[in-house]
Amino acid sequence: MSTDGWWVVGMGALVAVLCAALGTFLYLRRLSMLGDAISHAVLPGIVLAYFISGARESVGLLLGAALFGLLVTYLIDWLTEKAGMQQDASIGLSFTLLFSLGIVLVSVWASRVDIDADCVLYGDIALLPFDTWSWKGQSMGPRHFSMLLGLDVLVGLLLWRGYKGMQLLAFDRVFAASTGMAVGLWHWLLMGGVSLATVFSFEAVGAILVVAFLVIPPAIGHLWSFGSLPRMLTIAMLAGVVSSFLGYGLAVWLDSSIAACMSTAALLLYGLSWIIHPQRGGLALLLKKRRVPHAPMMGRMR
Amino acid sequence: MDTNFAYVLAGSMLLGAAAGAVGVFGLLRKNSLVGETVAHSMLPGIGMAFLLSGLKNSWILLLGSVVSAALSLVFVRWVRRFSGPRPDAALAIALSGFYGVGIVLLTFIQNRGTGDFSGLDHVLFGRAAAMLQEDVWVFGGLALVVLVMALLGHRSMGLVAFNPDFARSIGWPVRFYEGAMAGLGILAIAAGIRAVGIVLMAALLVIPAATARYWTHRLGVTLVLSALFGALGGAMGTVLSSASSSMPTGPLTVLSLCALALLGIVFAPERGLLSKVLRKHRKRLQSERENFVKGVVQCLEERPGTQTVSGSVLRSRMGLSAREYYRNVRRTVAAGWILPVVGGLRPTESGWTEGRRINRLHRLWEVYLNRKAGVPIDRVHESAEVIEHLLTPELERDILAELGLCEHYAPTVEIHLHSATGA
Amino acid sequence: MECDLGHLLFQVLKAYFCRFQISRIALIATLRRWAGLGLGLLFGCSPSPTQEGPAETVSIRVVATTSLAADLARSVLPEVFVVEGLMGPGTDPHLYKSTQGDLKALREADALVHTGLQLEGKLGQIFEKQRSEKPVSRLSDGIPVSALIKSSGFADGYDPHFWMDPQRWADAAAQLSQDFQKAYPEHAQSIEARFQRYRAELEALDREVETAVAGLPDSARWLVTTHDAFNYFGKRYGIQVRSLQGFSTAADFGVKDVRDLVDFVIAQNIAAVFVENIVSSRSLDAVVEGCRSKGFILNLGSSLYTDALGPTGAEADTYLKMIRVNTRSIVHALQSPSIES
Repeated sequence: MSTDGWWVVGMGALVAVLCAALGTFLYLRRLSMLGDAISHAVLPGIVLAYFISGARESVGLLLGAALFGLLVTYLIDWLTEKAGMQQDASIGLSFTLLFSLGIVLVSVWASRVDIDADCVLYGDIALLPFDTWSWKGQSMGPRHFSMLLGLDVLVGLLLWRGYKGMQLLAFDRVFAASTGMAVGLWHWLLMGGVSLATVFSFEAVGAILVVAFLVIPPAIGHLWSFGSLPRMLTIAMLAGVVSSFLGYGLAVWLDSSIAACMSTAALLLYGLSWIIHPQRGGLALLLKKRRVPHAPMMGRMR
Repeated sequence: MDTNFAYVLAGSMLLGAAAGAVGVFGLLRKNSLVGETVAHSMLPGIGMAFLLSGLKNSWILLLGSVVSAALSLVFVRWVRRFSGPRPDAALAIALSGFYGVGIVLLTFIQNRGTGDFSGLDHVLFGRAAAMLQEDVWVFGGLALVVLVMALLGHRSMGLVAFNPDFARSIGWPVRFYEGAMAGLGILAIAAGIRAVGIVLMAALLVIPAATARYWTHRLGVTLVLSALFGALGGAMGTVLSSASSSMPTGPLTVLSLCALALLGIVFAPERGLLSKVLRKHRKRLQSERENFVKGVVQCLEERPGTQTVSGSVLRSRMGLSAREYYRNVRRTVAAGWILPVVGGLRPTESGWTEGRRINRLHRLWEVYLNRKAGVPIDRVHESAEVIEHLLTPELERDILAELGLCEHYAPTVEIHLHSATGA
Repeated sequence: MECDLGHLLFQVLKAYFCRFQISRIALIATLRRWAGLGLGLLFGCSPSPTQEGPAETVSIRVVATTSLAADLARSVLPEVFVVEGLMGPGTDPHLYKSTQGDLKALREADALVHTGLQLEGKLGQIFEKQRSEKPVSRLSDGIPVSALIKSSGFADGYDPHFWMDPQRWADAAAQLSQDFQKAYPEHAQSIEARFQRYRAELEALDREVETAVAGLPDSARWLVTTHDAFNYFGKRYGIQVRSLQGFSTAADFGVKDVRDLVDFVIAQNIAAVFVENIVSSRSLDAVVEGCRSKGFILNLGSSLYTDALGPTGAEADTYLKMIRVNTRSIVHALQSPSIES
C-alpha cells in the first residue's frame, strides 16, 4: 500500500476513534441522529460566514459552521429538556429549521454563488494526503492528520477527566443530578465537544463518513459490551479502525469513493456481528435449531 | 387566481395534512425521523435502477428508490430486534449504511463513463414551488386514503403503535397493520420528496405532530390538529413565498411550521411554557400565603391567651422585610385568613383552620420521615417546610395509616423542638 | 491447505459456541493465516484501471478535473501528453465525489489542469496546493478580469461558466498552452502549433454561432433555462438570459418567481425554454403548465449541455460538438413560432 494509502487509512482511523468514542455517548443518550442533523444545520453558519468574510475559502466558514453546530445541539437539548418535546421531534424540528433558514439566506442574497456545505465545507478523505504542511522546512504530512490527532487527544483528555461524570450522565441523568454532580457542566461539555468534533471532522473527511462512524461502531460496541461501558468504548473504537482499513481495501478494489466504502465496511462489520454473535446472532440461532433433537417420525425415512 | 399558485397551495395543504396525520404515528413510535432515513436510503435503489435499466426515466428511478426504501425499513426493524429497542440508532444505522452503499454504487456508475446520470438522486428531489397538477391529484388521493384510515382505524392503529404486544395478544393482525402503515408511509414519503424535497418532507412528518401534542393527549384530536397544522403551514409558506421574489416556498413552509410550533410550545394550556411558569408562580404564592398564616397561628399557639400577634414579633420570627411583610398581609387578608386589628394581626376562622392544617401536615411529615425513612431529627424540618404545601388529603390519610395513627392525631409541637429541649 | 483451513475454522466455531475450549495454538495459527490473507489482499491489490496512454515511457500524464477541461487539454496538447479527466461525461462538478483511483491518478500525474473560479470547490483548492510540486494550469487565469461576469457583490463572486463563450475558451486555451510551454520547453513548438490550430477552430466555431444566432429576430433572443449557466453565451452573442433560480445548488425559488417567469415568457412571446443535461425538468414543467393555463403554448426545447460533456460517442462528446449542438437546439427552438390559442 502506498504512503498515500497509509495516510488515508490513518486519518480514517483517527476519525473513527474520535467519532466512535463520542458516538458511544450519543448512542446511549439516544441522540444517534445528531450527526445527520448537524450536517444539515451548518448551512446558515456557512452562509453568514460568507457574507461576513466575502470569501469561500476562509477559516471563517469553519467557525460559522462550528457555531451553528453548537447552536443546533443546544437547541435540541433545550427543546427536549425545557420545552418538553420528544427527543427525536426536537432533532427533526431543529435541523429543518436551521437548514431552511440557510436556504432562504442563499436564495435571497447569494443565489449565484455555490455555498452549500457539500461544496465549501465537506472535505474528501481521498484528497487529504495532498494537503500537507511543513514546519521549519520539515514536511509534517497531511495537515488534517495533525488536526485530527489533536482533536483525538483533546477528546481523550475530556473523557479521561470527566469519565465518571459522563458515565453517569449517559445512563441516569436524574440520579447523577441527585448526587450533586455538576450535571449541567459535563452535559454541556459533552454536547459541545460532540458538535465541534463533528464539524471539524466534516471539514476533513465529509459528512458521509462522520455520520456513519458516529453511529455504526457504537452499535457494534454495544452488541459486544455485555454491560460494560469501557468495553463498549474499546470495541467501538476498534470497529471503527477496522472499518477504516477494510473500507480502504474496498475502495481500491472497486475504485470507489473512499469515505463511502469505509462506511459500507462499517455496515458490513455490523452485519458480521449479527452473524457471529453468541447469543442473538444468526449463526447461533441456526446452531440452536440443529442442536434440538428431532423426535423420530413414524413411517418416514430419516 | 394564478394556476401555479393554486396548484402549489392545494398541493402543499393536502400534503401537509396527510403528512401531519402520518407523522403522528411516527411520533408515537419514536419514528419521527424516518423521513430522513427513507430519503437517504433511496439512493442505492436509484443506482441499481439506473444500472439495470440504463435509463434516466424518473418512474423507473422512483420504483427503485421505493424498493430500496422498503428494504431499509425492513433493515430498521431487524436492527431493533437484534440490537435492542433503540429506535433512533436503528434509523441512523440504516441512514448512513444505505447512503454509503448508494454512494459506492453511484461512483461505480460515475466511473463507467456512460455519463448522463449525474445528480441522479437530485432528479428525485423536487422543489415545492414547482408543483404540477399531477402532484395535486396524487396528494389529494393520499390525503383521502390517510383520512379514511384515520377515521376508521385510528383507535386500532393507535393501539398497534402504542402497544403492539398487547394488540398481538388479543389476536389482532399486528404485522398487517404495521406493514400497511409502513407501506403507506413509504409511498407518501417518496411522493412527497419527489414534489417538495427531503427537508420539507422531513419537517412535515415531524413538526405538525409534535405541535399537536402540546395541545391535547387524545389520539383522535392529535390527528386532526396535526393535519390542520400541516395544512396551515403549507398554506402560509405558499402565501408568503408568493409575496416577494426569491422567497423559496419549501423553506418558508418549514419556517411557518416552526412558528406554529413555537406558539404551541409557549402558549399551550398545561404543557406550554407560559402555563408552566404561571403555575409555578401561583404555587409559590400559595406557599407564601400558607407559610404566613402558619406563622401567625404558631405565634398565637405559643402564647396561649393572646388573640393578636404584633407585626414586629411576626417579622422577627419569620425574617421578613417590611415590604415582604406587608405583601403577605395583603394577600392573606385577601384570602380571608387574616384580619388586621389594633396591635397586629388576628386570624379568622378559616385562618385558624388553615394554619392548624399546615402545622399538622408539617409535623406529620416530620414524624413520618423520622420513623419510616430513618431521617435524623435535625434534618426533617427543611423537607417538611416544602412538603407541607403539597400533601393532599388522600396522602394525609395514607401517611396516617402507615404510621398507625388515628385521624385526630394533632401534635402540638414540632419534633425537632423536642430534641432541642431534650424532651 | 484448504482442508486445513476449513478444519481449523470449524474447530474455532465449535469452540466459540462451546465457550472457548479450543487450544490456543490452533487459534493463533488460524488468526495468523487470516491476517496473512488480509494483508496479502491489501498489498497485492491490483491498481484500478485508469485510462492508460501508449506504452512508451516518455508520455507525460496530465490530469484534468472536468470533462471540458480534459477535452481542452487533449485539443491543445500534442500526443505525448496523455490526458485523463477525473470527472467523466455528464458529471456535475458540484456533486462529484473523488474516488481512490483519483488519489492515485493525482499522485502519479505529471501535470494538472483545472477550471478555477471555484467551480470544483475543494478539489480545485487541492490542485492549487500542488503548484509547488508539479505544473498546474488554472484555466480561468487566462481570462481578463474585465471579461468575467460578477455573480454577487462579494470579492470572489464570479460566474464560472466562461466556457460557454468560445472566445473565453480560447483565452483559457492560450493560458493552458502558455503554462505547458513554460513547464515543458522541449515540447513548446508542438504545443504552440496545436494551440494555434485549435484556436483557429474555436474562431471558426465562434463565427458559426454568431451567424446562426444572427438569424434570430430581436424579439426571439431570450434564453430561459433552469440554471443560470448561459450568461457568457448570452453576453457574447447578444441573447438575453433568464432563469428560474441561480446556479447555486443550494438556492431555491418561490411561487412568485414561477409566476413572474410565466408572465415574462408570455409577454415576450418566447417560443421555448430549456432544460440542462444535469438537472431535472420539473421546475420548467411548472412554467409550461402555468403558461398553458393562460392559453400560451410553451415548448420545452431539447436538453442543453452546460457543466459537462455528453457521453462518449454521442452528439456532444467534445467541446466543439457541444457548442454546436447547443446552438442548434437553441436556434431551432426559438425560431419556431409559438402558437397562441
